[in-house]
Amino acid sequence: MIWLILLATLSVADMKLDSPKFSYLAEEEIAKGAKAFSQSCYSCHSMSYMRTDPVSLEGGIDPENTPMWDESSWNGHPPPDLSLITAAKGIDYVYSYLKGYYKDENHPSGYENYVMPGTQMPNPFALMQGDQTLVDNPEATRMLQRLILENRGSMSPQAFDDYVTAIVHYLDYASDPHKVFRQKVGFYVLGFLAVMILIMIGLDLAYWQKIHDEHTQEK
Amino acid sequence: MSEWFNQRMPVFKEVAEHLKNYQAPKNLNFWYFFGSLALLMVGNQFLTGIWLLMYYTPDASLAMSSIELMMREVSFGWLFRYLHAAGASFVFIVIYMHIFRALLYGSYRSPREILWWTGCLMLVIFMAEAYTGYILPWGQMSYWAAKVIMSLLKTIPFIGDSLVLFIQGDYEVSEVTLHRFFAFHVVLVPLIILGFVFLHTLALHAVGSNNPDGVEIKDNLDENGKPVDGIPFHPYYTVKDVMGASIFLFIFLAVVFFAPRGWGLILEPENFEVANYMVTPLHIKPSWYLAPYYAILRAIPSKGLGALAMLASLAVFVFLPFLDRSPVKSMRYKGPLSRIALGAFVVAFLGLLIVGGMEVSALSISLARIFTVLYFGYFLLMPIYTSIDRHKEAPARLTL
Repeated sequence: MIWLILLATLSVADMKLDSPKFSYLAEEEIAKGAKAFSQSCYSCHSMSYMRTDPVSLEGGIDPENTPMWDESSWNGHPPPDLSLITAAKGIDYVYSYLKGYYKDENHPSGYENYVMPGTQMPNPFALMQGDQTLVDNPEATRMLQRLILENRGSMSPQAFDDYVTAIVHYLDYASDPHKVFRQKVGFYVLGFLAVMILIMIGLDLAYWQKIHDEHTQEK
Repeated sequence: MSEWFNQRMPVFKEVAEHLKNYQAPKNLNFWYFFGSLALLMVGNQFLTGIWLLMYYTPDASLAMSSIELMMREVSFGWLFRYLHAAGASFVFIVIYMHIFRALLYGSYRSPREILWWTGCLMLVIFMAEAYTGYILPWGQMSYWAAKVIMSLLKTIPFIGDSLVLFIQGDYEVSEVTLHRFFAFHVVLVPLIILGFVFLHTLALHAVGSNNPDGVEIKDNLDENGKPVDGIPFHPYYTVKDVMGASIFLFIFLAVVFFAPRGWGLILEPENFEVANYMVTPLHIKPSWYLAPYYAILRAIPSKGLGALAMLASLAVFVFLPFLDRSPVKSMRYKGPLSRIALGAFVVAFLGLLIVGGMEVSALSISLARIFTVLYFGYFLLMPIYTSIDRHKEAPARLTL
């Protein structure tokens, strides 16, 4: 029975999304990502829940300049707010989406996206990344293995990957900005409880000694 | 001072006496932690809920942003939100364990029928509380889950349509519904919960706790009329319950501080998007704790009958005191058939829980049907298997 359930969940996943490799210097990368976001994304996408966040303000995501769109603009799909996008779609989705543009004459903007076909967002990175083309790769297990860089843009592939990764890292931070602080507090809380558990087990045994003694005596 | 007070209003005295004089069986085990833990978690929901209420705005355009801005800009706002959200899941973990304990040791049997029934009602009330609270962030899943449940209520014959109109206050789930569910979630249902917590405790104090042996301690009294196998609740079980609560809090707070989204089970990814009545999510699923009932609903091809089966899956618990014909209460002395049946029921419940969260497919529907049959089989066949089972003799006194 469990085997059947496992089989059912496995068959749903077909092509795997690519994952970004976050730098272990998280703070630095997030600050870099905030700058990159204000450069490449903030002209269209708002970041409304980060209006007092120092990292965002430092990076140039100024609430005064927040982009506003009419409900009916962009054929009724104005650029969404991105404060919670990694929480809603997942880190891998956002990363693969940003790297998933390839040249396609049939798309009005000239670029199609592998992750979200028919996307309204024009390729924001065409000049930095260069142009990718979609190739048939029967052995591809991850989406981006099917995309080949045709001509280099202003950035080297590595520099561009760092740029996108920083944006995704910043977005991940924005979806839960207190994560680092929360985990720090969490260690103290669990440490306190661990000591409390030991004391309470000792206290419990001390109180219950009498009951156990009485019970054995009765026997 | 305390004397002066107690002469005029003996509330503290009464509570203290109740704790000291309440005779609890001396062999209560691990499974008996979950009653006090349920109380602890209800307390957590009340307290954190009050804090959330200070910032939350029940308005379709502000609901989610009021929560998200509170989490970011209010000191420890994130903590109250995560404690409340994860708390809801843990309330259900705790009460499912509590119910399993009752099934395991026959706590629903005479003389505890009314205690059991108040508990059964409370399960449904907790579901109503969880459901109304789930709508408040006004995310995609909040909105669409509300629509699904409302369409279920519509299948009630004759009054369905007007009932739905009455509850949601509009022809569709809308901002008016959000306001109403807000009122239900923070005032109406919590008041009912408080009342039932009181009744449940009152009934418990009248009949006394069952125990893993399923033997009444009141059958063996000493010359003072005190049960020989009873010990005062305070200090023996207060100290034990605080120990249990510490261990439980360790697990609960580990989730709150290190995995507050609960891998998409506590805060679903879809619910980080604001409700949009133009876009239906690909896969509408209920919270994990309601998934078993949702799976039963989907297992039945007709929606009306499915809703009926869903209702029956909860209502059937009420009949347990009459369905169980064993001469003994506890699984310790029941025979192999009863054990297999309870095991099958647990498998069915967990199976439905998994299947209810899966997308509709031929496989998930057929699995749901198998588990539904097992689920109801546990109850409906109980009079048969408990009467032909080979039971052991229950001991006259408790075993420690």
